[in-house]
Amino acid sequence: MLKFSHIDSIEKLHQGYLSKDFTVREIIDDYLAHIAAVNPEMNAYLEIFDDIDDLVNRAEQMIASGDIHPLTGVPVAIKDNMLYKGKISSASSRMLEHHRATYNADVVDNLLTQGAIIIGRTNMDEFAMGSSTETSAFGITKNPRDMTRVPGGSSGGAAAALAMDGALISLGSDTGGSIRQPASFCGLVGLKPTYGSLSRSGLMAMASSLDIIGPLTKNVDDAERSFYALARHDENDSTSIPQSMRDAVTSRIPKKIGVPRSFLAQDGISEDVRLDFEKSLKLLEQAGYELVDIDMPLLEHALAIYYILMPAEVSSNLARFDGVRYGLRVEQDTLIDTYKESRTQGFGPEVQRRILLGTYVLSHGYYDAFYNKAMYLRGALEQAFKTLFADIDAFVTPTTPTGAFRFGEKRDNPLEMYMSDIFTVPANIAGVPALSVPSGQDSNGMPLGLHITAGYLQESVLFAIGKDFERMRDAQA
Amino acid sequence: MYDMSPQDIERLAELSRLRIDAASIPALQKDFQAIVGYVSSIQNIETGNTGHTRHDIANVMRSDDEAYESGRFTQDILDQSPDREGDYIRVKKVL
Repeated sequence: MLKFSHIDSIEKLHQGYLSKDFTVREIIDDYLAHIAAVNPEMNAYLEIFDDIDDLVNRAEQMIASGDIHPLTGVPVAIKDNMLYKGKISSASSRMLEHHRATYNADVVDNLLTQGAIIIGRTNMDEFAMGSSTETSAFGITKNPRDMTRVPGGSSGGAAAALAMDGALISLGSDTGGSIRQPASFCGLVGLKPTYGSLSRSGLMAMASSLDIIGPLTKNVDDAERSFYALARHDENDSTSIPQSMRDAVTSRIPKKIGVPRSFLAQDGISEDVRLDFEKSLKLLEQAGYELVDIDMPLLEHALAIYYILMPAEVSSNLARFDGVRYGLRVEQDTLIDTYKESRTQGFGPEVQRRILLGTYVLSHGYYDAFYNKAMYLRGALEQAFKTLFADIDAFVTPTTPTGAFRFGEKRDNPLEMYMSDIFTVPANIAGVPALSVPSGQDSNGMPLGLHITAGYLQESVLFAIGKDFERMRDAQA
Repeated sequence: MYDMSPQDIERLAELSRLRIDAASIPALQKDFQAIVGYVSSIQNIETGNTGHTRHDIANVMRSDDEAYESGRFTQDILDQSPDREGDYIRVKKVL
């Protein structure tokens, strides 16, 4: 067990550092000893970095000299698709098993500048494609709440690392729910920030118009601190939101929360989830929020739109892996066979499936019916969200249709696995922020989450509602 | 229904530069039938006159006057290649 398990927030950690209750060294040694004991079974971390000592020394100097940033001395786990110069970043794929980063991702640079302690890299679904971390080329990761169940995905290692007390915050990436779904499955807070608010520079591309980095944390306050510590304009990301647009945001105090009743009426949502959600709505009402029914038929189509746009971008982004410039090369008699064999041996079945699907929806004769149509619907959804958030401050759903499932339960049925993302994809398609906050449990004792979606760059609305919800939930427990 | 023949799958694999075993084709056909069948539901939705652009961000390319000196990243990039010869990446001859 973690000796310092009571230091479960950034605020408590910084208070302890400042009042000299403990040192960065003591905290990190405690974490490393605990990780060494539990990680072999859990497989949350693929690697613990070998230069943590340097980071600890630097953080101690910074604290001693009063140079304290929001993440100074905070033990952080990063997902295996974020570049950290000189270290392996593999996207949990055979293709990049030995690939060493040539530069730092902007978030990594930012963490290092602030004196955060980057502990290691966490397991994930291969190239972030999956909802259970079972597609990793380097083994499954277990859910610390029940070792027979998945931690969710694709940031399953990030969630497990945090839930097993192997870090205080974890950075994940979210293309369709890959931060929020594992956060919900492991009883954690997960934030998918506004598209373009954190830099994608140095994040391996999955579907570039949807991808965003965000934090998994143990409470909403830590998510808020992490978000503001890491969000910034970066000229190395062409879709990074300029500072002027960030400054122009007017924050509002949320009062009115929408509930998309017809979206919640569809099949495949477990009774436990429905009951827990109704309880959550009562807590929000007790916290003083006005709940209004909203009707947005496009929400029901978001998953179909997603499973056209995402594979299309995947097939394009992963075309770069050809065995020539970097990654795995399997030499054959001809160049074209070298491409094919390298890709066939380098990519696992789910990645190949999505490349084929993306190639299909982009191919001649199908482009208009699939990709182009989906792009128009994306525009319509963005427009509908703009109109919606002029009237209400946020809307809520469950984060997932069920609690964490067992290993193998959905592995052979891709479409059923894809349904895990039904509540989380709309935020990615519209580029708006969303937060999952632990709400309760299902009948297996597995955590469930409340999913809150707000308007463009309105993260502050999420944090305000999330904190109120946390308070009401804890008061009731 | 979106039935895909084994030839369709092979054609997609060719375009994707993947080698698909004959044995795995039936399973892929089944997956695609389910997935493509599901996503096809969007074809009946009216989109009205909305477009599909959203970004308010423009002129994101850096200006030429800030170019870094030539060769600064050459070795880093070449070092990533599985097979190189001097400052070239070596591949099988194409012709």
